[in-house]
Order: sequence, then C-alpha cells, then structure tokens
Amino acid sequence: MPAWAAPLSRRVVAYQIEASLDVVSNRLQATEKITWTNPSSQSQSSIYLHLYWNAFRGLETTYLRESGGFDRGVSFVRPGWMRLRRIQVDNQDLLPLSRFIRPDDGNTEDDTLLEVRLPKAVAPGQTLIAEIVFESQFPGIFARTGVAGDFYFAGQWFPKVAALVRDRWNLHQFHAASEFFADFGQYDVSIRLPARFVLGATGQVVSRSPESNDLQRVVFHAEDVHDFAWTADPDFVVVRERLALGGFAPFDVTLLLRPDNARHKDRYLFAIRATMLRLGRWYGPYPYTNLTVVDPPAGAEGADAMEYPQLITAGLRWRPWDRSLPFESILIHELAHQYWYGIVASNEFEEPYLDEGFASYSAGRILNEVYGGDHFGSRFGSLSWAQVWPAALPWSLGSWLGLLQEWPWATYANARILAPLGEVQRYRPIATVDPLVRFSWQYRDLESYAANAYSRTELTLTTLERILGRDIFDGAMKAYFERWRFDHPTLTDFIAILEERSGRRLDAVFEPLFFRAIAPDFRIDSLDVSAEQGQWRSAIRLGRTAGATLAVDLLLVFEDGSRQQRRWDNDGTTWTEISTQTVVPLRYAEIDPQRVFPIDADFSNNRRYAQASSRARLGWTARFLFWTQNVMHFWSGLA
Amino acid sequence: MKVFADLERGFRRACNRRLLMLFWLVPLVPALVIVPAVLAFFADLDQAGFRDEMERGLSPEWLVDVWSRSTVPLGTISLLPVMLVPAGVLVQIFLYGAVLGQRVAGERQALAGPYYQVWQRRTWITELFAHGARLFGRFLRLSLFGFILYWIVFSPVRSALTALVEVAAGDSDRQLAIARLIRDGVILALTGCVSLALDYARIRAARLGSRAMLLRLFEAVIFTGRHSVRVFATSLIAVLPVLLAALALGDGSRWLGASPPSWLLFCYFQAIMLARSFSRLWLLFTEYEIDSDLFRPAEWAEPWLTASWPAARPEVPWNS
Repeated sequence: MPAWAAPLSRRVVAYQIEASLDVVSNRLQATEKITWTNPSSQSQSSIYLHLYWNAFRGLETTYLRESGGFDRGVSFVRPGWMRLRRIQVDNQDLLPLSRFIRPDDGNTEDDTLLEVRLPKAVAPGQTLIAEIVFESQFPGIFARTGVAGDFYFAGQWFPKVAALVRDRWNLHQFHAASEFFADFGQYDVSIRLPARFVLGATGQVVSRSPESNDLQRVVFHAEDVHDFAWTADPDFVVVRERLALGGFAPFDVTLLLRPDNARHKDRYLFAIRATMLRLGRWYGPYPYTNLTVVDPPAGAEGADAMEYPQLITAGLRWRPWDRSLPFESILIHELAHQYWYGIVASNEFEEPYLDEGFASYSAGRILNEVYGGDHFGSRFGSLSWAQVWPAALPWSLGSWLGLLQEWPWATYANARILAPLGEVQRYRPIATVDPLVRFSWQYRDLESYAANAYSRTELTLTTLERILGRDIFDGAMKAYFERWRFDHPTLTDFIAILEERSGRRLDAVFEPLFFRAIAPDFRIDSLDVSAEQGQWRSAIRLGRTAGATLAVDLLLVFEDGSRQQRRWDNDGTTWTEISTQTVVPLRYAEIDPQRVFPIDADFSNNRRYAQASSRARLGWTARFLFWTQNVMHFWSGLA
Repeated sequence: MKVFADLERGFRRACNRRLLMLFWLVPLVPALVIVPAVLAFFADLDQAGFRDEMERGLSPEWLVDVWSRSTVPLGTISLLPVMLVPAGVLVQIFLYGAVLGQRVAGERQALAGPYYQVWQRRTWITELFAHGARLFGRFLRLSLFGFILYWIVFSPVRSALTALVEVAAGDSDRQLAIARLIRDGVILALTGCVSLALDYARIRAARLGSRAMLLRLFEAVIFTGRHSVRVFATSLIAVLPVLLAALALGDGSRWLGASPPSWLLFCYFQAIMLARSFSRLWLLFTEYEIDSDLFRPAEWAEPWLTASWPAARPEVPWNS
C-alpha cells in the first residue's frame, strides 16, 4: 500500500520479512527476502549484512567490551543473538561462502558484520535477490532493544544490508558508541504473535488478521525509510490523533502508552504538535503519513530515548513536574531525529554529530521557544536542572520549596541562563581530549563520544547561528535539509551549504570548532584603571586561545552606567591591549557580552571589574560555613 | 498528656544559656577550619566575572565554569564538610557525655541533697568537661555499635526491601515510585529507631555508670519498643524548631533582600544553627525525663538516697 505516487528516495533495497514470535523463548523465527539494487558505479562481488544482535551474544563482543556491559544506566542482563540458517541466491545457499569480518578492531568474538560472497558479481544498477532464513533471540532490554516482561522492542532485529554510498561499502561492526547507517528502501513486514499483544512499528498497518491458537498476524508496509523497528506489549493504551499542522499534509500520530501514563497523553500530544510544527516550518514538512511514539514500561528503561524512522521511544517516568522537562527534552530530541537521521540520513557510524548534534540543536531551540528559558531538562552532574532548580518547580508548594534555595546546588538559582548550561558542562571536560570530527568509536570513551556528538555539536551550531545571524543560519539549515533529504550527506556537504548561504569562506570558524581538540576561551587578562590629569585611564588586556582567534566584541561599562562597544578582529593575535581615557571611571570590561560563543571554555574570565569587592566572597564563605555546620550536625545527630 | 509533660520538663532543662552556647559553639570550632580554604576558593570573585550575580545568589554559569576548571576543584571544596564529619561526631559524643554526666549528677544531687553537695567542689565548666572525658570512651563504643546497626539497615535490610519493591511494582512506574517511597519511609523509620535507641542507651549508661554498652543498647531497643508512642511522639515534636528553622531558611532570601551583607548572612545562618542546637538539647533532656520517669536505677536505692521515695526498695545483693 504505497503512500506516495513517486518514490521520495532512491530505494536501494526492499525487504519482505515474515517473522513469528515465540513469547516463551522470546525468539523470532523468520524468513527475509532482500531485493538489492547495486547503487554504485562498480560491480559488487560481495554484499555485507549487519547482524546487530550478535553484539549481545557474550561479554567479549566489541559492543560489550567497549560498554563494559553497561549502557545509559542499564546493565546487560540476558544475551541475545541472531543466527542465519540459509542465504539463498539463485537456488544456491551462500552461507558456507560467508564469513564474519571485523574491520574496526579485529575482535574474533564479534560477529556483527557478515560478508556474503556472491557466485556472480552484481553489475551497477542490477538487482540481487537473496532469501534468508534466520532466528533472532531477544536480549534482556539493553541498548534500546530486547524484552522486559511482556514488553518487546525490536530494533536491528533482522539481517540488514550494509550501506553502499558514494561507491564505498560502509563497513563497521556494532560499537557501544555508534548507532546505524543504511540505504533507503521499502519494507513489507509480517509479524505473527499472540493476539493479546498491541503492536506498533515503522510504517503503516496493511492488515491485521487473527490466526488459530489465539494468534494474530499483523502486516506493515513502509517506504523511503532506512530501518524498520517494532514493539509489542499487551498493556499498551493506544491514543491516535491526526495532526494537520501549519498547512502541511496531515499525518497520524499513534501513542503507545502505559496505563499509568495514559493521563499524560495531552502532554505528549502538545510536545509532538509543537515540535513537528516547528520542524516543518524551519526545515520542511514531515513527509510520512505515520508517526508512532512508544512509552516503555518500568524495568525497560533500556528502551527509552531511541529513534527509528516513523517510530520513537520516549521515557516518561512517574510524576514528572509540570514545569520540569526531562521527559519533553527526550521526546523532542527523538522527534527531531525524524529529520536529522530519518530523512537526512547521515552516517551515524562515522559522523555521529550530524544526527545527534543536529537533533540536540533543534530540540534545544524548540524547548526554549515552546517552554521558555526557565525550563531545563539538561543534566548537571547526577542531577537534572529541572529537579534542583527552584524556578522549575511549582511555587504553589509554598515556602517549603524555598528550602532548595539554600541547598548547595540550588542556592539562589535566579540568573537568566544565557547558554545551554547542561551542554556546556558536558563539553568542557573533553574539549581538549578529542576534536568534534571523529568516527563514533574513536573518541576516547563513551563520555567523550556523548559530549562531542551531542553537546559540543549543539554548542558549535549555536555558535555558528550567532556568528552568521539567525536568518542566514536558518536558511542554510533549510537548504541543507532540502538538498539532502532522503540521502546521505557528510559534514563537507553541510559546510558547503553554509558557505554558499553566508557568501563567505568559513575555514577560520570551522577549523577550531570542528577539527581541532581545543577549548576556545576569550578572556580579560588584566584591567588597570588610573587617574590622569582629571581623567581616568583604563588599560585592558584581552586574550584568546591560539588556533581560535575569532573576531569578538568587547563591552566597557562605566560607573555612571554608560557603555562603549569595541571589536577585536580575527587578525591571528592571541592577545591585545586596549586603552581608554574617560571622565567617568570604568566599572568593568566584558569580552563577548552577547555570548556569541557559547562554546567559550570559561565565561567567568570574560568580565573583569576595576575595583575589587569581597562582598560576594564573604557571603559565600558564610554559606559554606553554614552548610558545613549542617552536614556535621546531621551526621553527629545519628552517631 | 505525659508527652507534653515530658516535653515541658525537657524544655525547661534545655533553656540553659550556657549549655546552648556550648552546643552551638563547640561544633562551630572545627567547622571554622574550612574558612581559609573557602575564602581562597572564592578569591576570583573579588574582581572577575559573575561577581554581581554571585552577590545576589548562585550563578549557574559561574558554577559550571568553576566545575570545569580543573585548577580549583569544586569537588574538593564540597568534600570539606564531609571530611569534617568525623570531627563533628567526636565533638558531639563528647558533648553528650558532658551534658548527660552533669544531668545525672544533678539528679543524684537532688536525691541526696546536702550529702552530695559535700563532694561537689568543681566549677560548672570543669565538671562538665570531666563528665565528657569520663563517658567519652563508652559513648564512642556505643556509636560504633550504632554504626553496625545503621549498616544493617542500609545494606542487607535495604537490599532485601529493594528486591521486594521491584517484585511488587511489576512494570508500573507509579507503583514502583510508591513502593520505593514506602521502602524509603521504612528505612527512615528504622534509622530513627536506631538513633533513638542510641540516645536512650547513652542516657541509661550515664545514669547507671555502666560500661556494658552493648547491654545498654539492647535494653534501649526494648525500652523504645515498649514505650514507642511516648518516645516517638516526643522526638517528633522536639524537631519542630528544626522544621521552623528550615522554613525560616526557605524564606530567608525574601527577608534579607536580594543582596544581603555578609555579616547579616552569617548572623542569620548562625541563628538557624542555634535553633538546631536547641532542638537537639531539648530532645536529649526530654528523653532523659522519660527515662528517669520510667526507670529508677537499683544502684541508687541506698537508704540515704531514697528516703523520700515511697516505692519499695528493690532487692539488691549488698542489701541482704
């Protein structure tokens, strides 16, 4: 049941899968017919299959070695795997001719990538048909796939052809710090399982038919997508709504909620409407007819926060504060992935920042625009800002919440946030560890991967937006989306569009922000004010990091409140001295007062006062002393 | 009504300026150790960015900056109060000994009248410190036993409850959250029980002059169990000053204005610490009143000590 008259993508591959789920053994028995058209300009004598679930076969696989059996707060509990029984091409079983390859680390325990040698090379544009019989064992929920109780989430559950893009097979094992990359295509998937289960999947339901022994068969169809995921749970509460936003073509949203969370459906729908409307306006309309949002149950946190084409998981845990947004920040991020991963299908193995960072950037803007500046879902240390920041809590609870104002991490948190602080906090420790541009598993560790792919990219894009101006930047993002939707762009393609739209070379900006492991820092090194012949002379020494000598503004604020603005151009210097002679003495000087560079490694050295004052220092010393007394008092009370 | 009578007697005992000063000032001394380190830590604020914001309150931007600057580890500064906890605990154990020892002496004195007065030659403060020193070793041992009890509560008991909670909650977040709240409530109640048992064990040990601390702890557990309503009700009421102080703390920023002078902040915080100290003292004396009301040591049943007691003398070996 095709949704569009003409294909939106170059459909390189078509899958027809018939799967049967045994809910006792948590195992899938399936047959898969792959129709693959060689998209390259060269003949191919092999094709390559990703068998992702073999990453969960044992502790020595590359994924589990790299993750240490721990992924996003969830421990690996039960193994899963994928076994091929037959790969038939032209009536010949190619399984004996196949071999596992480990191009990234040579780990012989890793069976996540299979080379299938073909009896006959496939010429450019020629089609290969392969029929595969396979069996997949669900792992315990881990790394956003698996089973927990009656909840099944099947991502990467079938043998999937590797991407052949720009005449190059993109061959990588499954790494702890990487997601996926595949060609666009068409999926016809039939799933047989007990009738009590409610199903959701990428694509549309084509048919749902009962079978004997209380079983059902549900058939899905999806096209112009590069992956197919499904989920099943007997307890899902289904909420359906057709969204027609901003004059764009309508699409159906299906919420698969747990009974506990059904009362939050409006909160879900509000966030989805607000997000999809903005993504549509900023970049382009959502091109599919379906979108399914899954709410994983307690005990299945390993399935939270994941994106697949037309299907995402959120993760609404109990009692989210009305004005705190840990849940919305996840939901909106995953919705943004429909654009930056789903439609603009960049390479998540090799350029993880292109989807994660872009989704984070879009989500950050939407959160700010829709929910306002005092809402934060970002994490700070082990706490969420939303949990610790009194401004994010409902004041109706009265002065009890004022207590939070004297808690160490929440004291008087009344400052207007000028930068996405959670991202700043994640990025700073790794700023000089890795450059932003790396293959996902080549970052020093998972922390560096996450900080670079998500936080640093978001800050970098925000910096670019502020340097170029929002209009130019938004135009470039829209052009990037329009030119590369249903295709596989690279960072080079993005830079080309940005330079084209801004009409200037941006090497000096991109080099420090993307390609070097440096932490740009703009600072006031010294400030001296002296009286000279009835006037005040101020000498201000400015500094900036070598390699990131970007043009920056300087603000001078005088004791009478008057202001002067100066500019330090990108002349390659790492320091300069500016002096002024005025009637009124200088109160302080501030570099980058508009926070054009949220990527700045240290904001506290951006401003310097002419006169020292110990008032803030003494006040905070009194607080620390008080907290110390309280800590001692509490523990000694128990002794 | 016995609860209120206990609290009233405890309150009268706690309204002792000298003791209150002692309870507030002595723990303040080790806490002052952090002052030079903190002053140095915040030195940047005198001239550098976020000074204005930090005068008004916490600037999250400043916090993130400091956090990411490895040269001045915020973690170390934050850990300083934790590092001082052992000092606080030792000081508190000493103070418990001092106050309880003196209270026991006072009770004996009240019973013995002029006989006891004859031996009472020391000043208030020397007597206080002598009692603290005498009972310190015993109370320290008692705290170590208490530590074992806390470990049992927070390790095997909590693990068992957690396992139970996860089974009971199924796949419902709501039930899981409620079950976890119940678990935490149980743990909190058990922690309170241990803390109260330690208090009563100390009081009993001081009154009996006992060195058998494990036995006293065992007795105290039974005692708090048998008189649970009285014991728990008084302890809950006696923490009221702490709650009021907490409320005041919450509203403080409103009273003090957006940018209060540091001396005012210091006085304000110390007033709250005084309230906390008073609460502790009040609870301790109330517990003492309950114990002395319900239990009279047989060792005190000397004819010259119990002349005014109408109760029959208990049988003790040296009387036969």
